[in-house]
Amino acid sequence: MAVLVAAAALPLVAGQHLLTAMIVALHAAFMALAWNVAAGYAGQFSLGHSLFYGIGAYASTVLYLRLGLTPWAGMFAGAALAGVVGVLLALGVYRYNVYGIFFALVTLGAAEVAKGLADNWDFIKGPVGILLTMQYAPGDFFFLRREPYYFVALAMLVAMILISLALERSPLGQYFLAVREDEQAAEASGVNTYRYKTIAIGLSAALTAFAGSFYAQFYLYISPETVFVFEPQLTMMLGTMVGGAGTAFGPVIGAMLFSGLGEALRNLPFFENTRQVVIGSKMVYAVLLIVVLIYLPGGLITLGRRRA
Amino acid sequence: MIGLDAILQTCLSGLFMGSVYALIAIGFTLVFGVTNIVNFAHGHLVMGAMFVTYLLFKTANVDPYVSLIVVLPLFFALGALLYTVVIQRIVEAPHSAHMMVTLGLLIFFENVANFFFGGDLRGITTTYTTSSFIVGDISIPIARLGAAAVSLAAVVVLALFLHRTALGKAIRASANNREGAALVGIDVGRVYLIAFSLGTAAAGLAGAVIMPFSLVSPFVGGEFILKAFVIAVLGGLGSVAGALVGGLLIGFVEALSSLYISASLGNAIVFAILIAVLLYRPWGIFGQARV
Repeated sequence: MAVLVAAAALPLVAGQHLLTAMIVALHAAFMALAWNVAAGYAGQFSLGHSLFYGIGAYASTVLYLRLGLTPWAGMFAGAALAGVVGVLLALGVYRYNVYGIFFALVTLGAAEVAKGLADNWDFIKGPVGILLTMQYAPGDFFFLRREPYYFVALAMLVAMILISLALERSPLGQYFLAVREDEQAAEASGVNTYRYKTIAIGLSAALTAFAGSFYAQFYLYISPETVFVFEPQLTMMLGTMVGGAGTAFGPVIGAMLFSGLGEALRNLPFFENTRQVVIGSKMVYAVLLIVVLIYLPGGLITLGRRRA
Repeated sequence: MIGLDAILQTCLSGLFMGSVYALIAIGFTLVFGVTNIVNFAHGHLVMGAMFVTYLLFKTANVDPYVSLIVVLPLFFALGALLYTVVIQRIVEAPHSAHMMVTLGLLIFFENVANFFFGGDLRGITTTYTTSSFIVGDISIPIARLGAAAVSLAAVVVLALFLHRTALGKAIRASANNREGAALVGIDVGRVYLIAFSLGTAAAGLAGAVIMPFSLVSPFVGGEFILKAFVIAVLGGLGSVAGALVGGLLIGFVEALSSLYISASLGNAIVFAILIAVLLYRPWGIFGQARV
């Protein structure tokens, strides 16, 4: 609660620069939690979530430009579309009992196919991408200042945390855990694992699409090279796996840490320009990732639990 | 209308490109076949070898093929180091941990390279970089021919090593059945170390021989690893000979689809093939189902 109040009050004291960094961090945390629904709770380690992120980004943007539909509604349309694509993909993949590393590779392949198709689809401007005009139109999810974006990102993250907590307490969440812990045992005790794995992917895909729509409205430019590539997927995985997969707060901690690290390094004296800051922060994070995965397989969040 | 010569030339360049892909995939598939670890950083090891070869050429004018004397032992040692310091600790962990840790290595290598070399594309010009000989109306680039020959030779040497030597047999035994191999007295930990080092040396080999006709930047590794995935899966994960066939197949598909359709769609086709193979024959087109 105290964290929430502090987060809500932050724009009063923060400069534009810090605010931008915070928006990026909140967005990363949201994405991580969305991926966490499938990968963390249900153990379905997808490497293709950029596909759903891209669908979200393109759906809200194309609906706005072609039909004039406000992105506030467009993001829900994008989520629905991503959910359908996710369910269809899952139905096909699980139908053939693809699991483990093969599942990871199939989903990675699906995102690559989507990028190839997007690059060759003139209707969405192919590799050129789509530029949105900077304007003040709150009804259409456009703001000139950082503060409104910050509050939208914060609200989205809070909603996402609440969804994760609700999932943990719901029968659906219990089925997800059963699938993750021992699929054969779950199947033997009457759990329809095919159905719950499919639901996990569909739900996770739809939630990821919201992040894609936010990305489009915040950066005002999307292209296959920015949304259908591995980067968004990487952001989701780094935050989740370092913070703690299968928890509602672990991915938030991990994502915040990743975004915060760049900011912290920026203030150290021996890094003089931004390029080195970015490179340095990624090197530190890579080492951190490896060390955490080796010594704290449950993520940083297990540190707190052990003490408690 | 596209002429016959153009088609032949395209097939040939597909063949050459395919053998390069195969070369990159060999080490990846070897490591997976033995240790069951998907090494996301494999493409970045190839990138590292390209930079080492580049440095040797620029500073001491060492030919890329001669630089193998340095690159192969160096990368074998690097593999041993990586295995001992990092990989060894996660062998028992689930696949997700393998992927995340090797992704961590990938990010680390990419940023180390970026720190020292910056993001520009760099290449070297050897005496044979642009030379080729002409057969009929078709030109055969010498540097690519060399890479194709090395790729074929590497597959043969590795196959002989795995099937004819005691150490090779121990590696295959450990790949087949870890517990069984340990029971008959094979030091599985050592076998894994050697397999991982060999895979890393194979990455070094690939990086060195493609350098005469390739450009390197810290970011070329991503494309390599994606190709290695597809090829290793097509050929059957763990099958070295399968990697060669898979590589050639992907080379052909890419070259022909870039001739008839577009390069970016060709990439999508390659991954569509990957998905189809993973759904219907997860053990690969040429591999055998493992029980």
